[in-house]
Amino acid sequence: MSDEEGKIGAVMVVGGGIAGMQAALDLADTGYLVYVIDSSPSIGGAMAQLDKTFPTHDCAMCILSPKLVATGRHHNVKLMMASEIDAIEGEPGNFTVSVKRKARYVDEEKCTGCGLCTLRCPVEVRDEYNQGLKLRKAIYLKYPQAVPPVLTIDRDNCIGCGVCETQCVAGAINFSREEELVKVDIGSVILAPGFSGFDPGLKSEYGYGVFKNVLSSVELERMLSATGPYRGMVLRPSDGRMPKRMAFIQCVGSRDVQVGNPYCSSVCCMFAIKEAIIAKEHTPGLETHIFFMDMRAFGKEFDEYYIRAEEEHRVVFTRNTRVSSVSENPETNNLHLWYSEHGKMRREEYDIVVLSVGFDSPKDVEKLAEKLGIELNEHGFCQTDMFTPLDTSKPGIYVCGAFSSPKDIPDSVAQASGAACRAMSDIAGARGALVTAKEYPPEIDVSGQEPKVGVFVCHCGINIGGVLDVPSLAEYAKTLPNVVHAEDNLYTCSQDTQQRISEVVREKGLNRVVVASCTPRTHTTIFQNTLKEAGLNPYLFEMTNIRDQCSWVHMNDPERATEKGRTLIRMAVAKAALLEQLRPAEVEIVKSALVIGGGLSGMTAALELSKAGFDAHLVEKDSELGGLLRRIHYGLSGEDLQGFLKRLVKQVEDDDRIHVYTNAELKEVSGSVGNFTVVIDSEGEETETHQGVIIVATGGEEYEPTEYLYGKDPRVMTQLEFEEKLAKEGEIDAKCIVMVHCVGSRTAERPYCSRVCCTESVKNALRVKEMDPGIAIYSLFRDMRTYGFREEFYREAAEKGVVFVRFLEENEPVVRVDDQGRLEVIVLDDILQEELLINPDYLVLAAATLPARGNEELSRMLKVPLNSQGFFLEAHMKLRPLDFATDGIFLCGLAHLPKFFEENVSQACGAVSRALSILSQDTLEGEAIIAVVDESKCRGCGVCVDTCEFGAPSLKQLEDGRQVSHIDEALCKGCGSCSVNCCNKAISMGYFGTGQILSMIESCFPETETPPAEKEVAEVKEVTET
Amino acid sequence: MGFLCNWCSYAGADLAGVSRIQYPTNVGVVRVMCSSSIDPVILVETMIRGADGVLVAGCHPGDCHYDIGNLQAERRVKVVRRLLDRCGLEPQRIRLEWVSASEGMRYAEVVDSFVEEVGELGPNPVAGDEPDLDILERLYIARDVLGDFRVNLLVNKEHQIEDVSNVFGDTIPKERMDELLDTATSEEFSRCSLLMLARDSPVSVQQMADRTGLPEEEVLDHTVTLVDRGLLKVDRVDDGSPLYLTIPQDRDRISTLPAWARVEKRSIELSIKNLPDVDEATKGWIVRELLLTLRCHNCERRRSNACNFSVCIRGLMSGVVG
Repeated sequence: MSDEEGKIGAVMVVGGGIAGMQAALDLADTGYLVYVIDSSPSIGGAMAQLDKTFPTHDCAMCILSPKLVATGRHHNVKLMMASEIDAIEGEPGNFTVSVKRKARYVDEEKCTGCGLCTLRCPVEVRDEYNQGLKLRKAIYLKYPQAVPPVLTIDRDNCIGCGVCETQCVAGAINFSREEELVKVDIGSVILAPGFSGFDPGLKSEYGYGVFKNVLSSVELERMLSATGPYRGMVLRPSDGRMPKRMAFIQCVGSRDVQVGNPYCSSVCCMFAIKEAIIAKEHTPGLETHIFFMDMRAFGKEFDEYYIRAEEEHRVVFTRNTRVSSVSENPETNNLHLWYSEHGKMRREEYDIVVLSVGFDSPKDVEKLAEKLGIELNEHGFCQTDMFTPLDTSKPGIYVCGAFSSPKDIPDSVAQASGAACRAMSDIAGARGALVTAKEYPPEIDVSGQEPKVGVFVCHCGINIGGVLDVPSLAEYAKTLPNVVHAEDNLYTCSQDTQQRISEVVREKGLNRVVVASCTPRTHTTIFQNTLKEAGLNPYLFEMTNIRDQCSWVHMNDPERATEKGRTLIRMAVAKAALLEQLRPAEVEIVKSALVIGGGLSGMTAALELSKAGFDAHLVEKDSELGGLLRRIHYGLSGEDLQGFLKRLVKQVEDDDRIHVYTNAELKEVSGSVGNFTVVIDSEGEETETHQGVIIVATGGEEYEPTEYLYGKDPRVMTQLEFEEKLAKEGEIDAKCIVMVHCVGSRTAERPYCSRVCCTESVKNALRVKEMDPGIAIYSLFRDMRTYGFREEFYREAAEKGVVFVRFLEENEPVVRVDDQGRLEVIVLDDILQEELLINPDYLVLAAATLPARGNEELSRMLKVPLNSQGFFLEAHMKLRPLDFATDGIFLCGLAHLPKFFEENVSQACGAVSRALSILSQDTLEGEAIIAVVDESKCRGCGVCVDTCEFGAPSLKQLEDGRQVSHIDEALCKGCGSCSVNCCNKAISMGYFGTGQILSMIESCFPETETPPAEKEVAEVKEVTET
Repeated sequence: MGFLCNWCSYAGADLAGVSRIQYPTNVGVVRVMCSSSIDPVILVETMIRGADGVLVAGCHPGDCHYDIGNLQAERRVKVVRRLLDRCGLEPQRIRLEWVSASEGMRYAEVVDSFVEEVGELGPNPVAGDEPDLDILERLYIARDVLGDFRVNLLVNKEHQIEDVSNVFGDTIPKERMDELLDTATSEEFSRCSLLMLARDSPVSVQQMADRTGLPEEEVLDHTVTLVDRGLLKVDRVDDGSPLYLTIPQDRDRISTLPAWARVEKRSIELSIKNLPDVDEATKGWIVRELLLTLRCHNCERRRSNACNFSVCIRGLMSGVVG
């Protein structure tokens, strides 16, 4: 089961949240067997509880559920739910893990997740998923879209009455299950156990748990959700009324030494803004107020979102406050919020107070850490190193997501891909060793045959059969044109029915199959595989949904529901007759990657690619490697970055698989995923190469300020210049230094936050204090954005006497040279409301980080988009932070957004992981449902080229000189918008073709005007007669 | 009204007769096979029809002809008494007594004392020409609660789970089961009350709380559950308060049967229409059986509104055709 070095091609991912799922999918796509274990009965983690995500307001479940399904159905992923690690032994590349699997008392193979058992269970329990705002039963599905869709008996609350067993038609309930210990052999471990929410009851001054209308932010999130307790309405728990005024208190359980959480939880600011906006949308006339200390909107488009919240949505922000206490008016259950503003105590009244709860380390993590032998930091999160942010203290065990530090979804996803990359590098040789591709019989060509349709109608236990008259539907189907076989099954998706379908196809020579059952979104693949086993092309299959969109929603009207079922089947059969065989295009993959940019991200990516066994072509525009890192000398804890850089460059240069091009730029890029043709101009010499994938790591650069006398007075410098000075000179001769934050960031011209400068300023201030504690340092900031564990350095700096002065955007500091030649800084301290006058020896500006200058040209060349600020725009802000919408091109590092050293390393590894899912395959199967051009009709107008989001169509010249559209099969996603836009209807879609859809419409409205009731009788008669 | 079990109490009453022991005339007797066969719904129904008191008499513990039927009866009566209390009727109006076949004297004494006690309580307030409509309405609610699967199931399974063995081979302590049953009875009563309240016009949480005397937060919690069960919906929002309306359970009610037997005749007929190898007479029999028997042949639980018959049909068919 392992390669020649004894490495095992399997990985265990601990935690099935969004990070765990992403890591698992990357690994599984790259050819590793993945075990996902989670203590919960379902995967999905914290994201599954969310209503919307910031800053795009994507519905969390809508974007999560495809990932849930992909993880649950992936043939290389094994889910081990309600399980925990008991012990681990072995070494990197070859571990044996004992996993304790709790009994769920429901057979995962048999349960269909219909949930009938829950209706009859007599025991009601507070539902944790809905934060106790709702009840669930003792047998339950964690949430409606849960994967695996298998019920679980909550043994702590179950009284063992056994009624669920009598309800289960599938016979899935099994009370004799017991906890078992399973041994699993794996090569690496990835830890993604996430976090646990801070218990707001610990901040007793806010009255959580005492005052009914004090909620946690997670409770509010559940209220906002359509699947929540009040179906999306926000109601006061005390009396069920809609609130008129709602306040958010920030930093509950974050940045709070008293409760033992001195760190910043990184996400709550944005979380609160999102909830404040959505709550307003859900509640007419609602006012929302956010009380906060610093607004930490440091992510992509976050500051813009913050501004929109204030200006468009009229969310009221009150800064500089830690609310001191909340009291309740016992008559009205209204809440009084006590806080100080500019030194005065104030009181405001609200209907609901929401506590923005921070992140605690995951529950029971100490036990896990002890069993695995990994170190935790002082806060109970995973201990990591700046240079290896994805590695735990134990080799072979990696970490990602909130467990390494509080973080939001995209950062977790990027890290998860990164951890997957690290986990693979230990077992690169064992890639593919444990996964087997399924073999299917050769496909029978049915083209030209008369359609012979088989219809299988599912009872789905009693989910469909309890409402619709399923046997009559099957009988009815027999009467439809082209149908040669129809039958009803208790469960069409069960293993034995699948086999039966295969047999029927062979016996009766069926060449089209229709299944009328549940939703095609989850079940199409199962049936398509059945067709493949029967030797049919999988696209000769059509499915119609008579459960989710018929029996479940017309329970009280069985007759008309059955009539609708007949219509749906008739439509499916009509389409099926016109189905054609489709075969996805195959592209051969060049096993080499192009990495654009030779900074920290680019070099890290190139090295990881090489470790995985692939060539990397590294293109750097400068004469030497290193990028911006060349100007950064030390880390927050004094790490030697220049020493690190030297070693990194040497590693890259010594690596045979890495081809470095310096003084280089791209001249031309063509082709698509699997085979890009790239022309590189390096040192004036042009080289043409072929690359399977492209990683964009173009980095960024420091803004050259025009403000504050920069460039006019030598005492004014940027943080990078100042750092260089400190590093080179080792000392500084000054009595007073002033630092100004947000120079060039968060301005009208550049509304984004440069993310790193607050921490850079703190770092340099600490450095100066270390050299000479007597030097006075004033740090003039707008919001201190030292998120995560960086908060502690901020505190340290304040303790060491660095004076932090907040100024508002409209009161920017004034800098001039006074008549004695001294620098003079005048600033209005927003907290004390006093004007300060300081005469520093040096004025250090935290200058913005700008996107690399060549981004625009590169974006045109690669046909990938930039955002309005000139950073590259990923495929999806939440769940695809490292991908472009165009397949085969990835991004990482500052090309995406300004970010820290360790974040760049994580992202670079992550981009490699994403790239490896392509590079590891020999050929790439494209979509089969794609657009096809009829060249005889095409006039070459090019509308399709403009329409396509993915760059699939292009114009090509035929031999006769005509311009026609050409669809790149590897790039086409099959959305079909080009076929609609096509002026001459020269483009058609497979599987969802106009003809097929028309046939469905026609059959939906049959010509005969027989009233349904009479018709039904007539049909039944006919059936009985025959 | 008195319900006497065939084997002990009815015999005991006969013995009183044979012995010519005199007792008041106020008790009308219904003979049943076992005290456990008296549906709690019947007990409530008796009160609704105006009985001043209900006597249930069975064998002494350990003597039951059907092993533990009398203990089952004890549990049921306990629940009914609790519900009567909730309705505003004195729980003493329902009394359970153990009378053996040899206790003719005791039977007379029991009747004596019960008649006296009930006499002191006075007439049933829902009886007569001017019934107390509040109490009557609550009795209807109690009837609905007892027709509901949840309370029923707990009552029926209590003995098995508490004293014998549940499906995991454990037993659950009496206190826990009592608490569960108490909670379930009280919750379902509240919920049925809310459904009754919201039946005709939309009401807010505050109005429901005012009219039922329940705390607003508890009412809100019940609305969540009822909306989930598909029995209640938000009709509209008025002045910042959602107004709730009961969703009429529009079904073919069989008027001669009590509330708990409201079943979907049509859905049964539809389900069995295409059963193979079954003649029309058998189909008719199945429909009748399903409508008229109190307990489903398959799952041995009472059918209720939400019962879906295809399961039962499968159970029935195994006896009929298979």
